[in-house]
Amino acid sequence: MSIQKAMKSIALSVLFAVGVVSFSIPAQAAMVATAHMNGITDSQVFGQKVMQEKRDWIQTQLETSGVSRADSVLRVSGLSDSQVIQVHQRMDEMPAGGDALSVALVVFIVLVITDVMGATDIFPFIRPAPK
Amino acid sequence: MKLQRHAYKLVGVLIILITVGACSTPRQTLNIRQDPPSDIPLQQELVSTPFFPQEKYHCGPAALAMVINFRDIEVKPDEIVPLIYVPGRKGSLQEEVIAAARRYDLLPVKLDGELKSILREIASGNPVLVMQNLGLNFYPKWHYAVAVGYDLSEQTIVLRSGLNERLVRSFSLFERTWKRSGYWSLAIVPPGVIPSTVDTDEFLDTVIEFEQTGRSSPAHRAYLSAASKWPSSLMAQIGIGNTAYALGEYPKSESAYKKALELSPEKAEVWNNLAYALVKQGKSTESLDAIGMALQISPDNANYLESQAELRQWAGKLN
Repeated sequence: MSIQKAMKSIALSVLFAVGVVSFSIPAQAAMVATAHMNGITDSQVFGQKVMQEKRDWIQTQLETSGVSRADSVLRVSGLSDSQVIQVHQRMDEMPAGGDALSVALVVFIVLVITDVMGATDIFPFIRPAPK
Repeated sequence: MKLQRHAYKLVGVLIILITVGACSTPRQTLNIRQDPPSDIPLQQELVSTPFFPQEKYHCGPAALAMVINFRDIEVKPDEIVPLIYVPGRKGSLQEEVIAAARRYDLLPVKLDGELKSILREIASGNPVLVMQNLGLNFYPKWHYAVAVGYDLSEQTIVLRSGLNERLVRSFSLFERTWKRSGYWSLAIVPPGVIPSTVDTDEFLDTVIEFEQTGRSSPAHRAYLSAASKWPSSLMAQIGIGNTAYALGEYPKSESAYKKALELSPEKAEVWNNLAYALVKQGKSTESLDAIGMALQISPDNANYLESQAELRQWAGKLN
């Protein structure tokens, strides 16, 4: 009884929603986006299809670098068009901030010295000699 | 044996070459020493900036969590890891850090790369996320940290960095490691706040990207604050109009477009969007007049012709 009632009200609200949608303006297709008024946009230069290909490429790169599919899809969706262009262009050369304290032993000694001289700052406990 | 001695010599020469560069005072530090900014206090520290010690390779999530929590949004570095960490790179990319900040409805505003600007932002209450290369150009150790304080008389900057809650570094050492990231610095602010050192265009570019990635409501607030700081900004009014429209607030949208047209009457795109804001309120005659204006300014524009057809159709339904 109560389930039936619930079903009925769900069905009614769905019908209502469909009605509202079909009465509203078909699309915002002809609205001009803020980005487009600010100058030529990346999506205008490259076209939607190419932009999507770039997004797909970045997503694949993230996945092959060990990011889960769900996360990589979410992450790419959060990038703006101009970010997509940048990342697509030079993802491999882009610096990835991570960890300073994983250094091979050979380099260790060099870096201790350069730290003391104030050229690098690998080891927080080393303060360069005053000048 | 001989080879080894040569190798030692090579390393020695290398160290000398590197440190010779380190002995001169870098440009921006010198500039601050000679011409210290007089518009900010001698010393400032945003002591309430929370600290999260970083896990291995996770300085990005830790640093980002600090600036987000500073804005009273609770998030742990572990929750940010899946948004920015790239396991294959053992680190996080700058563009993804920017994108992740937006997910918390915060505006990631890139600063101009001046050390003075970092100090000014701290003085106005904004901690600054920075990227450094703590190693060398040919042996990079990329690192994110948060600048939270400075002392002009000591010539030092205070960082939340890695495992250090309060790392004090001289301006010159900081500048050297920061320079290698191209002076990358980011103020992450709530939508009502405008970082003190950014200009209109830089700020609005950030807000436009914010809007583009679907954050209509906070973007609306950011445009509003831009319009009150820079009343003659056309893009701020357009942004208010478009975000209000996206949020279904058509009267607000209409009045913003009208303000935009006062600033720039020949902006056909605005007439086009105004037409939509009007028809949504049932003002079909005014709407058709507005799209008529757009077509008067640029006749034969396919987009406006399409709009006109669509609006006529809808106006017909209304009557």
